[in-house]
Amino acid sequence: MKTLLTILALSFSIGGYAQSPNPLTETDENAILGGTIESGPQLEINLQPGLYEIGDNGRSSSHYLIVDRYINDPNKFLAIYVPKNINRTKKALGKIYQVRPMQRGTKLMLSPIFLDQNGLVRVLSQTDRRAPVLEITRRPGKHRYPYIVNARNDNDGDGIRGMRGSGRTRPSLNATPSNGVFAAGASEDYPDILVSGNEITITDDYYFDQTFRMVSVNAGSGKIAGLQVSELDTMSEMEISEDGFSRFAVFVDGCWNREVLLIARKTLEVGVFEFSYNKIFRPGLLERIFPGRLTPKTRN
Amino acid sequence: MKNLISKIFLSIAVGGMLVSNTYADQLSKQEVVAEINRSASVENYPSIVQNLNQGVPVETQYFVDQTGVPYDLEGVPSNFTTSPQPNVFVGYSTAEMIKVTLEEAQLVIDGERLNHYLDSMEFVKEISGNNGTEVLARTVLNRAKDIIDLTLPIVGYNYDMLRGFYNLFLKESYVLSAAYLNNRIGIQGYLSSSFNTSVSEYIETYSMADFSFQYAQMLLKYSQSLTTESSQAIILSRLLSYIVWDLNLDLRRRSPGILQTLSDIYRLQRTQVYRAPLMNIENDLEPTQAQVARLRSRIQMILDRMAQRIPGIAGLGNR
Repeated sequence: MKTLLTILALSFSIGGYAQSPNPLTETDENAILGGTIESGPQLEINLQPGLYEIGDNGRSSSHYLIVDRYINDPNKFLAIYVPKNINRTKKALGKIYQVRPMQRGTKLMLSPIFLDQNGLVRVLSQTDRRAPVLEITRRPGKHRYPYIVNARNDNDGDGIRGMRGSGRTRPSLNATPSNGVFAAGASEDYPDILVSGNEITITDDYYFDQTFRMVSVNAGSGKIAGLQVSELDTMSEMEISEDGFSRFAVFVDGCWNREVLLIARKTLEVGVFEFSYNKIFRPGLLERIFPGRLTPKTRN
Repeated sequence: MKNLISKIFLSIAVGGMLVSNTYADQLSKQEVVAEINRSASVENYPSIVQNLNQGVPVETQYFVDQTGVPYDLEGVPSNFTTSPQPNVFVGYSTAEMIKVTLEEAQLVIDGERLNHYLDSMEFVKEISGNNGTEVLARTVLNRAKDIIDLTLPIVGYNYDMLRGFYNLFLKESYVLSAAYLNNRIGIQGYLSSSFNTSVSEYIETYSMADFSFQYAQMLLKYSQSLTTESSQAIILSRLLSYIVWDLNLDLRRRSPGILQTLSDIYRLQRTQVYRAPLMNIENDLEPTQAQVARLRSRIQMILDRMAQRIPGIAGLGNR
């Protein structure tokens, strides 16, 4: 018995020497209680305003993403997503996104903006836990498409695609036409769309000569305009418009060969817009349609 | 004595005639114009100026009792009597006033529309007074004012869009307010014909819990627009306070569904999810997007559960 105890005591003391105690592990409690997941090897995305192309790796890009910084929060963006071939099809389905950084800027969530029944602009991801959104991450190394675009919650079944900055010279996006006046139409005899100042008159299959007031969604330097149905009250001599938006409009210069006005109209699907492509009349045509002098000719 | 008095009266009368004759004869054309301008100017009516200074609008001068007005001021808006002002609000019922406000708003330009809604709100509340059957209508308007007062200084930089945002909010508040009036027959047609709202157009019976849920749904929509994170956080936190207020007034407040909802809100208000964005605002900081997203998500969870627990409210809220 005595021998056994001696052996036990010896073994404990040897064991104690072999495992010298480490200093107590101190954990940053806030890192656990804070609730945010530490980013892994993902890269921070520093998205810049401008034109981006989205497409499959093996093929050429299929969509444009026109990005503009969002005024109320410099970390967010507004983006227009349209097919590249809209210049041939003239009409195509597209979306307008609010781009929101997630997880310390390593991901971007592109959440569709939609117009509700009253014309209020709302962000779809804030109304639904399973809203169809695009998620953008960046991958290290040199690739044809340095960004990965993942369609979450079955966004048209687009799956995973790539995104890259456009090689084109940076296009300008505006809420107003570059020259102050814009006219476009199917036939070059008479404009279907005429923009003057902050008013736009649209003649199409659905409405007959409807005038809208263009309001910058993104403030003074904004790139996207919301359209409010407006009427001229001749008695008060003021333009009276509705409060809600019925469409969106953006002027794109430098993306296609001439300045283009994209008008987004609501569809039955929430967050999906039907974009119409309206190319400005070729230079000189506007002068031909509306010829004349600014001031009457005087004798001398 | 009698003679003396009659002499004085005579001299005053003659003097007055003499003065007036002399006055008229001596006035040149320019002086006549100057006199007209002088009498047309508001500043020359001391009582009006006095009232303006005291915040009494000039328009009320039209409604004073006209007995005893000096003969030279008859028909001229002024305030020479001390009789009480008749109640100018009796002409309209609350519902009619709301209807008129909405109709007039369509003819007012955007910039003035917001003020039009806010000004009319006072009239609507004045007409409604302490009418017990119109408590909810007044509640909706008071809350609209509350939300605007709290968010306006921090709502964002896209002013043109925000003007429309507030106009839509006030318009929907008026419509919601009308929907909770008892005598809303005239409004119903208005509701169904020209304005789409999530509010049921033909609510026959409702409880405070119904009202609470519907109002929360309406407010939630306006927290989802392109405004700042701080204003969204304020709308969301106010929304919770409103639910608590309403549920405490519900007759079924001892039922498990309502108690559990109150308990959910109580617990949420003691977490960092609720406190962090508000603390940021207190320190003049914009809450982060993640903070507001988490708060919104938790509130949505509470509302979803509320719809399941309290019978009869989910159907209305989801319209």
